[in-house]
Amino acid sequence: MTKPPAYRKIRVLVTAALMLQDKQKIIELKGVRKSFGGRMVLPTLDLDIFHGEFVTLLGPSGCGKTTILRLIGGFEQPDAGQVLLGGEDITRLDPNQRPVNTVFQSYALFPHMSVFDNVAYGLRAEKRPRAEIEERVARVLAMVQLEDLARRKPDQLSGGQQQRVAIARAVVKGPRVLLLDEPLSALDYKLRKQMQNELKRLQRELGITFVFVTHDQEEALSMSDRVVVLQEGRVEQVGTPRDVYESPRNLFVARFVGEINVFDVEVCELRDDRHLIGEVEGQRFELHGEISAFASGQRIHMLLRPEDMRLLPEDSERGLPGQVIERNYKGMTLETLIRLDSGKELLASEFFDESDPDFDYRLGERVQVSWVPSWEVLLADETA
Amino acid sequence: MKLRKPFKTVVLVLIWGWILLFVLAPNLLVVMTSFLTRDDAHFIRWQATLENYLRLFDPDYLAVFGHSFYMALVTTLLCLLVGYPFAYLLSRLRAGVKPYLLFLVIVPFWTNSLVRTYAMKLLIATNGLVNQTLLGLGWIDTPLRLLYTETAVIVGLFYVLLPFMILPLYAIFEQLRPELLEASGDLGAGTWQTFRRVVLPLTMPGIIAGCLLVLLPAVGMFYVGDVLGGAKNLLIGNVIKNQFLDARDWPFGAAISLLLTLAMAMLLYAYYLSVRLIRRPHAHAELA
Amino acid sequence: MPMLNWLKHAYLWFVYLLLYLPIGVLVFYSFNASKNPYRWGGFSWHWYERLWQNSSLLEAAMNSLLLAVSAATLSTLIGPLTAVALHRYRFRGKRFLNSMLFVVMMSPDIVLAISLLALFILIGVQLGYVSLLLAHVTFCLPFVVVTVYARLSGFNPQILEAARDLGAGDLRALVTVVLPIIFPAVLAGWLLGFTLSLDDVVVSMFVTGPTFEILPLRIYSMVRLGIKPEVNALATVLLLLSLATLIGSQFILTRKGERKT
Repeated sequence: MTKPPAYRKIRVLVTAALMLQDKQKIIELKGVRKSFGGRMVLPTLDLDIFHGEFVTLLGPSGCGKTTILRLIGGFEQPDAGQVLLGGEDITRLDPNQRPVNTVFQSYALFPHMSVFDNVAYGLRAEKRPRAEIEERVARVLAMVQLEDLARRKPDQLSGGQQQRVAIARAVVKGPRVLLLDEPLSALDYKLRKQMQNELKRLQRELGITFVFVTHDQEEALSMSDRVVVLQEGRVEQVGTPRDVYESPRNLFVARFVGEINVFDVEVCELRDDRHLIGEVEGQRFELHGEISAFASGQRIHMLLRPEDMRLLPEDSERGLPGQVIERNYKGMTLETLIRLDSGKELLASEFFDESDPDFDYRLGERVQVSWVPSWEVLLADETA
Repeated sequence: MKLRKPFKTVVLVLIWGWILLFVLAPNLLVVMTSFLTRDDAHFIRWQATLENYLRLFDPDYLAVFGHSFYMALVTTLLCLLVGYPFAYLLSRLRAGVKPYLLFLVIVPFWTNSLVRTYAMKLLIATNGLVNQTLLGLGWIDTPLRLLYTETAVIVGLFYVLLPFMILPLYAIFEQLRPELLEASGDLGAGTWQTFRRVVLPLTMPGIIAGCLLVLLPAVGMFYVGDVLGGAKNLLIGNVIKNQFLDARDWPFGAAISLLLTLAMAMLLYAYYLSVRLIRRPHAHAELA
Repeated sequence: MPMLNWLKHAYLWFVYLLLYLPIGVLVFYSFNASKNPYRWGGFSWHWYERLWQNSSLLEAAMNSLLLAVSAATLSTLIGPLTAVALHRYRFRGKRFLNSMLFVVMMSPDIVLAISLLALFILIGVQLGYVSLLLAHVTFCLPFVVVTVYARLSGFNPQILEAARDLGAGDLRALVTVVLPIIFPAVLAGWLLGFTLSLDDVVVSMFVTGPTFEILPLRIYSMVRLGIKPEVNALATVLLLLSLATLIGSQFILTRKGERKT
């Protein structure tokens, strides 16, 4: 999955430099604990969010991501711990006292008010002068391309339009942080893709922090500066989309963020810091990764993404022998399901190239499965 | 958040106060009164007795109670048979006309039930409109004796209480999603089967609510008994009224009222059980 | 199937006929010149004139209307607050409160009537307008609560959160968001209370007093003594009044652009 080591080093240095530059923390959650009716949702959470970033809270249903959002927004109070905004403790503040606004999953537009009145609501609550309200509302409606619909009522709008009203309404108040609770889940595929781009553009234009909640990993990867992967109230990994995808810290993250092939490996011999010889499916391979914690004879996992796999003809020297049992043409890619002779099933994915006959194996055909060397990720066996 | 505490306290005090003062206390008074003795001057004398309850078992009174319940039951059945299809058809109409048609059902209420009962009397009296029409058409020779019969009371009750059956049924039909009927048909059930297996169970809460809203008042509507039934067709309400306002025997009246309340409690409990039982299959239907 | 359609419409018409026939008879006879209700003597406004002159009957009608309006209004002030409290807050005895409201709704009028009479006698409330008002509010209240509560149940809680998120305090959120959204249900509750009060006979007969005469009693005595056709005229007037009010309230609702649920 990862590229040559030198490249990685440079990347780390550049990131660190950027971080030192202007990355102040805008939101800090310290030791936050929250349970609902006896069920512990967040045992103890420490999370920092930086100014101006688009950060996504990603995880399966019930992992606590919406709870975290609501804690930041002020709709829930933590049982223990603090919520800080720009260094100040806002844990006890009501939602209407926090310079933070939310775009709700159901949009929650006021059904009895026009689009204009919906968007103006927050400004009116601040008792702004009429002229200022009109100007700011007009400006933000133009930003989301809804100027013509200002007089309409929510029930006269499409889902996508309602969503943009919800965004406009939250953004017009100029919050320091915008919270978005799975706002795109109700939209169809094309619209969702479009809105993803629009939200990214909007975030850059406004320059404020967006905290986005979703269970769709593809969405998280495509939109975010950083991704926080959560499971059952615990942070499994925090990093850039690339970090999380290419260097998952554990099996959960690897499995949740995209498809993954997991191999059981027995360590035969440690070569140096980053190389070892391991036995995979009965064959010995030279493997590459973070191996400092491993010892000879240990059982570990090897992780490979479908696009890291390579399929070789049956008569090849290298590779694990298997048979093609399923082919899925997906337009952009071709997905192949292979069953190894050992019984293990693997998923391989490749950009479909009509002119290259190599990858195009028929159903039932025998192949040798290999992968791009050094793209594998090695993890300790958590169950051991 | 700041408004919340005082708001909550004020509202709770208000509603609890009202309930305690105007619902709980009066009913306790009635229970208490039923165990006391009558007094000509002050309504009650502080002398405990079970005599009032014993008098209930007088065969004359039991006959009246039974007859009254019978008339109320027939009324309820009539209301159900007429009201159920009506509520269903009303709920399936175009959304634009529904509110108006529903209001048309309620409008008669605003002329006061007594006026409507009196109108009924005009209709079925010996030289009332019904008889005049039938005589005029030549269908009968002598006018029918409709007034001061059991039928008159039943018809009168039916007329006054029909809307009370229609409204809860309408509400429950509104909640009945047409997709469920379509799904049933799609799975091969005929109309009758769909009705028996899908519609009937799902509308049962409405049916029971409607029946309660008709049956319970029906036994108490003494004015219908007075105007249409005469002395031979008394409702329990008539007996209670007589005891309170004419005979001044409050303890006895209270005892009868308590009997009625107990009957009502039993019916309500049956309703509660049926709603509990329905809730589980209903939950499945909701998931569908 | 056009036949089935026709049958459905016919049935609806049939039931409406049932509901309106007796009242129709009253309206019809209110224009009857002859005093004898069983014989048509020609068209006449006579009884309407007599009604206008019959001050006691008019007064009784006015009193009933006044009572209905005040009972409905008072119920609509307490009812929605109660519905909100039941919907949002947890408190001890909530189940009990619910049951009590349910009991009142289901109780036969006569049971309510005698229990309230006993109470009023005991605590010395003078039987008249006050006792009537208290009694009517008592039986109207549960219906108002149920109507508003049903609307609250369908209320998306995120809307209220959105209002707070945007900076509204509790009072502002209540006035600008909650009340407008539940308004149709509140109005429906008011109409329901008004209807129940105007229609009531049993409870009114028991807790009324000589100082405040209401319609049911007046008519009761009139019907006992003999038919008075002014009653027909009165019924017609009440009918027209109710139709006008209903059309009016619907007009208000549609003007606000809300759809009734």
